[in-house]
Amino acid sequence: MSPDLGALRGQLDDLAAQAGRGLRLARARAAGIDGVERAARHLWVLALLALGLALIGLDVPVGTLLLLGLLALALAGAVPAWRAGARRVDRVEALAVVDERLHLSGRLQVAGEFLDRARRTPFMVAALEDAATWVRGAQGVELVHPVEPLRGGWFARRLSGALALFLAAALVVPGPLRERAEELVADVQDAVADLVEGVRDRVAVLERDPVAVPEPELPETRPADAAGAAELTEDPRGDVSEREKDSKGSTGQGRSAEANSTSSDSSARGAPSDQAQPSKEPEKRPKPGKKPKAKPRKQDSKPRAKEPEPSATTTGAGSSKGSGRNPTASEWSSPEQAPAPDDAEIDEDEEVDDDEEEQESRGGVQPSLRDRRPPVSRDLRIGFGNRPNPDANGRGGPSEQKKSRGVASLVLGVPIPDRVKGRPGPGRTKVTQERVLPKAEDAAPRPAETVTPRSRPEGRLPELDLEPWVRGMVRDYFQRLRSGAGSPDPRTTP
Amino acid sequence: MTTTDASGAAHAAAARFREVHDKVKAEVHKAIVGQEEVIDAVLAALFAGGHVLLEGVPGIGKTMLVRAVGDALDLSFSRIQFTPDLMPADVRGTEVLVEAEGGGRDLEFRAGPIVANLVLADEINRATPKTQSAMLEAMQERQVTVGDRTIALDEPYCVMATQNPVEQEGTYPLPEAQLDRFLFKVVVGYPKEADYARILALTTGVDAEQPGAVSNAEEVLELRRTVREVEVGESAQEHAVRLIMATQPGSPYAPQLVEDAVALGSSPRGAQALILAAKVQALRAGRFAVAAEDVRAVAMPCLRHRVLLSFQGQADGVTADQVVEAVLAAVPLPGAGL
Repeated sequence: MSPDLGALRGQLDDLAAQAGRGLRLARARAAGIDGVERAARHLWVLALLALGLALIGLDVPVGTLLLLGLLALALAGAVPAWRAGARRVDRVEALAVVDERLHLSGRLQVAGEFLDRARRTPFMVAALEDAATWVRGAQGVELVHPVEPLRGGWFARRLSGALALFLAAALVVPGPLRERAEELVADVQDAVADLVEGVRDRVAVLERDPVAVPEPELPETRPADAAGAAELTEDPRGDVSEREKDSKGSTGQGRSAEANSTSSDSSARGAPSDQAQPSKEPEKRPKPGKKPKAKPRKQDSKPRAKEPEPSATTTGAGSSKGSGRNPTASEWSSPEQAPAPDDAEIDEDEEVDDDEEEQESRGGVQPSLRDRRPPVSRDLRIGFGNRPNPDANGRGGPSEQKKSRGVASLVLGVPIPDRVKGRPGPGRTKVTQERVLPKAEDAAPRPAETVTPRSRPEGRLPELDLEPWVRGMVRDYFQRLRSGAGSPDPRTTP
Repeated sequence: MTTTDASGAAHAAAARFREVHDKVKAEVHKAIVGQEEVIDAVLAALFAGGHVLLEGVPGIGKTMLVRAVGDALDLSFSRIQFTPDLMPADVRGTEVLVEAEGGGRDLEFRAGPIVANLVLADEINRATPKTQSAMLEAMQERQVTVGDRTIALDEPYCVMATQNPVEQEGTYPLPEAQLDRFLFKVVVGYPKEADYARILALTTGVDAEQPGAVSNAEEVLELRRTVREVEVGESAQEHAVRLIMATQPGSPYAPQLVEDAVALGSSPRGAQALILAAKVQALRAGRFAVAAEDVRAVAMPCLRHRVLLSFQGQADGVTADQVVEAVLAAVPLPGAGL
C-alpha cells in the first residue's frame, strides 16, 4: 500500500502555487524598491540640469522637467516590479523556497521530484511518506519572504533635495542676472580705463624728467665686500677717497693681480660719478648663493704686527718674490697654519667654495689645502686585520704607510701628515680597489674530543626555508631551464 | 508517519542504521571525550565505504579514536607506524624463508599489516612516497598485489590515517592521488575546556573503561548497503555538482578566490564523496533522501584535501578551508534568497 500520491501531489501543487504567488510578489516588491532607489539617485542629475539651464538664462520648463522626473521615478519602480512579478516560479523552485523558509531540509522539494519518477524505490516511497506528514503542517503556514524595505529616510532626503533644486530653478529669473552681469562688465571696463590713464601720465612724467627716476636699490647681499657694501648702503655718497685708500691699502700688498683688480673694482663701485665701471661689476660678482670671500677683509681689519709672509693664497706673489725657499716647505712651516685652532679654521673653511680654493691651491705646492678635500678612503682592511699589508703601495687599498700623491710626494724630507685634522668636507670619495686573488689560509682542525654533548635542549629548530613541494618546484624549474626548453611558465609549474 | 509495505524495508534499514551508528558512537565515547564532529566524520567514512585522514597536533587522541572504533566494531585491526625507512614490503607483505615439514626450506607469503579490516596508518606522511604508494591499490581497488600474487582484501576495509601538520621536517607530503582516495580529511582540534576533566579522569585513573564490540563486519556491510540505497534528488545532485565545479578554476561557478588561489580543483571523485557522505548525513537526520543541505554539511571534510592551492595562493596565505568556504558562499542553497 503506497501513500495517496494524488493527494500529495495536489497538496504540493497548492503549496507551490501559494509559495509562488508570495515569491512573485516579494520579487516584484524588491525589484520595484531597487528601481525607485536607483532612479532617485539620478533624479538629482535632472534637477541640477534644470537649475544650470535656468542660471545661464534659458527659459527652462521647470515644471515639465519635474513632472518628467517624477514620472521616470515611478516608471523605474514599476517596470522592474512588473517584470519580476511576471516571471514564472516553477514548482520545484517554489517548494525549495518553502523548504528553506520552514526548515524542512528539502523534504518537499525531494517529494516533488520523486512524484514525477515512473519507478520508485522503497526509499523514495519512504521519502514521499515523510514529506506527506510535513506538507500538512506547511499548508497553514504563511510564508514570509524577507524583502529589504525602502530606505525611507534616504529616499526622502534624495527626493526633497531634488525638489529643492527644481524649486530653485523655478525661482531663478534670467533678467536680473543679466543686468548684474552687465553692471559688473561696466565696472571692470572703467577700472581698466583708469589704470591705462595712470600709466600714460607716469610715462609722460618720466619722459620729461628722467633724473627723477628713483635709483634702483642695491641687492641686499653683495657678492663681494660684504662689509663695504653695508657701508655703501648706509652712505652711498660718503668719503670715497678714504674708502678707496682703505681698500687699496688692505688688499694691494699681499694679493695677486687678480685680487688687485677686484679691489679697484670695489673702489670704483663706490664712486657714483664713474659711469664706465659699473658695466664690469656683474662680472666680478661671485655667483649668487655663494658666500663672498671675507678672508682678506678680515685680515685688513686686524692691525698687522709684522709684515706678513707670502700667504697661502698668494701663489703668484710667493713664487715671484723668489724667496729662495722651497715653496712646499715654506708653506708647511707657515705660522698661519700651525697655531691656528683647528676647529675655527675648519669652520671657516667649510664656508669657502671648494672650486675657487682649488684653483688657488692647485699645483701640488700646498698639500695641506689640497688635502682638505675628502681623503681617499684607505680603510679597506680586508683579510689583513691588524697586520700590515705586504702589498701596500700607497695607492689605495689596505695600507698603513701611506704616502701622499702629487708633486709634494716627490720632495724628499718634507713631512706629510697622514690626514688633516678636522672633518673633511662632503664630496665624492674615490675608492680604488685592487684585484687580489684570495689566499688560502691554513686552519688547525678541531679535535673531535673537544666536541662535547649538548648541555641544554636546542629548542625548536627552525623549519627549512622551502617546503618540500617548493623544493620540488624549484628543482623542476631549473631542470627545465637547463634542458633548453626555455623559460617555463611559473604559473603552470606545479 | 505512516509506514507502508513499500517503504517498510527502507524505514527498517534506516532505523537499523541509526541504532548501530548510535551504539558504536556511544562505545567510542568511552575512550574519546568530546570531538563529536570528528567521531561523526570517522563513522560516516566507515559506513560510506571510504577512508579517512585525520590531521591534528600530537596528543589529541587521533590514534586512540581509531583504536576505539576498531574495538567497537570487532573488526580485524592493524596498525602501521609509518617511518622514513618503511618499505612497501613492510606494508603489503613479502615471501619469507621458512622451514618446511620435510626438513627443507620453502618460501611462504606473509601478509603485511595492510591486510586487515581496519588499518591505522599512523603518521602516514613520515614514509616515503614509494611506501605511501603501496597503499594506493589497497585503498582504491581493495586488493594487494605482491609479485604474481593478488590478495583481495576483506570487506569492510577502511584505512584511517593520521598525519601531523606541525612536523613538516622529515615528512613527505601525500601526493594528490593518495589524498584523493580519502573520503574525508578531518581536522582534529583541541578539546573543549569542559572535556578536560573527563579526559583526565579517564586517562589517569586505575580502571579506564574500554570500548567493547557492539557491531561486526557483517553489520557494517549491511549498513553500507543501506547508505547506498538512500535516494538523491535532482536538486541535491545538481548542487553537489555545482560545488565541485566551483572548486575548479575557470568554471562558471568558481568564485574569485578559486580563480586566484587554486591550481587544481576537485575531481569527479570528490562529487562521489560528497554524495556518499551526504547519504550518511541524511540517514543520521532521519531522512530517506539527500537534500542540498546534507551536501553542504559534508562539503568541508570532503573537499578540503582535494583543492590544490597555486603558488600564488600559498604565498597569499590562503588555506584550503577558506577556498571551500568561498565555494559554499558562491553556490547558494536552493531556495535561499529570492
